[in-house]
Amino acid sequence: MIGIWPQIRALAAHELRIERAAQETSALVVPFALAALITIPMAVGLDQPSISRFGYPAFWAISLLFGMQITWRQASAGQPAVQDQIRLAGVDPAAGFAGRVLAHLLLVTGFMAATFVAMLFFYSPAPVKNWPAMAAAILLFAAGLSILATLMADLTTGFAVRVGLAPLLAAPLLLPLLFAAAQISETATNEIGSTDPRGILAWLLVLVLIVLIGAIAGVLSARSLEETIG
Amino acid sequence: MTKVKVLATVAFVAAGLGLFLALSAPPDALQRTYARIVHIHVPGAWLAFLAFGVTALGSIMWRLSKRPGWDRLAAASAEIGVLFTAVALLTGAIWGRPVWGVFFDWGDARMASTAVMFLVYLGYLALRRFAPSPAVAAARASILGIVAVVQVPLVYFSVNLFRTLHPTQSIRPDGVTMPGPMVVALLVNLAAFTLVYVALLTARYELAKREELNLAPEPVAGSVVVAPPGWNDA
Repeated sequence: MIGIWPQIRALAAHELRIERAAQETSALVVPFALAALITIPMAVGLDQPSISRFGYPAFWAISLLFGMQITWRQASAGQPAVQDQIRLAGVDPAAGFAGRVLAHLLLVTGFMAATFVAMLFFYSPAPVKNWPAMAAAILLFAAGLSILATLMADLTTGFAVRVGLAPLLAAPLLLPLLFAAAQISETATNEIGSTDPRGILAWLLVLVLIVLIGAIAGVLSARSLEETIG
Repeated sequence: MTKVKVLATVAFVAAGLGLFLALSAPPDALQRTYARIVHIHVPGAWLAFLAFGVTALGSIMWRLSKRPGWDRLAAASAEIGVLFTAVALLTGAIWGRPVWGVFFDWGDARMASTAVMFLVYLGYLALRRFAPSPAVAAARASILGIVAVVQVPLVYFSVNLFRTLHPTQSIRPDGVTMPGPMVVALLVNLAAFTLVYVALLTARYELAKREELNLAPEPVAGSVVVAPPGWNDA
């Protein structure tokens, strides 16, 4: 009997191999997100101080919207045929969920890192004064997004309207994540806020809570979700 | 349906009494007559919380027992909860325009979190609506019904947790911040809204039961002879 951790690693590697072959994230999601990043300054009105102010909010909004796209890519192992194969292989449903989340976490973190660099280049926002807080916010945001969006993607597996329904379910649940991350980045780029860690810690705690609630819900519901697939 | 008619009649009478008390209560010293909207807004919000709590309870009980009645209860309560949330949002916006100057204030944690809760439960209804079968709808929606209820305490305590324009709770364990006639009118309206909720819930539950019976194969003659397999497909 293979342990739970090797199962998670194997499934995450499987998901990443599918992604490497399909290249949906690198060839579709990232270019489209960059296009969105460039569109916002045009809508703001080409005024550099305003564009700089919009840098971090634009980064979080684009990370949320396009990060969700990564979790329900066409090539994802969440498809019923692939789910059947995984089920026949005797993989624990909770390990299946955790494996998909781990793969999505790596992809979303990479995507957010690329978007962050592009945002710094295009928007020239206020420099980050508290890098550990900003890095923690990005990682926890990526984790929360990966967990909740994967759970919503699993909830809509087998639905004819999955492409439209999954974002409708995930987006409102992810809004508290967006709000908390935006508060941290605002404080981490602020001279006064960066020296007072209490405000940042409170919002980091909110992010940790969302990640924990999502992870518990995903693991506990994995078996019953698998029973309704196929 | 007699039960539903009796409940609806009692709810209608109670709502009439609540409306009378709301209009006859003295106006607020600062907000004048705009404050009367509280008699619809607050019960609407409270009943939305109750409805989503019942949805979570129905979801948990369905997961434990797999009895369809619990799923029907969860679905019916979610529909009514969405209706009451819309009432709370709409009346809040109508009150907000003259008092705050805007229909919707994004800086207000209570309004923003209520809007998020509204969207989550719209998603819950959409999940049920587009599920490929009633069994899948029940299984998937029960998970969302349990996860989504986390928002109810967040919305309720948002006025205490965040800096917000929204007034804090008027009826608290340490006392009541409203004058007596306003409290009486508010409590009567709360009771009336609860009766409206029970009447709507009963009616929607019965309707869902009938819908399920209509989907099931019908007997050809009486309840002894039933159609052979495939007969209804022809």
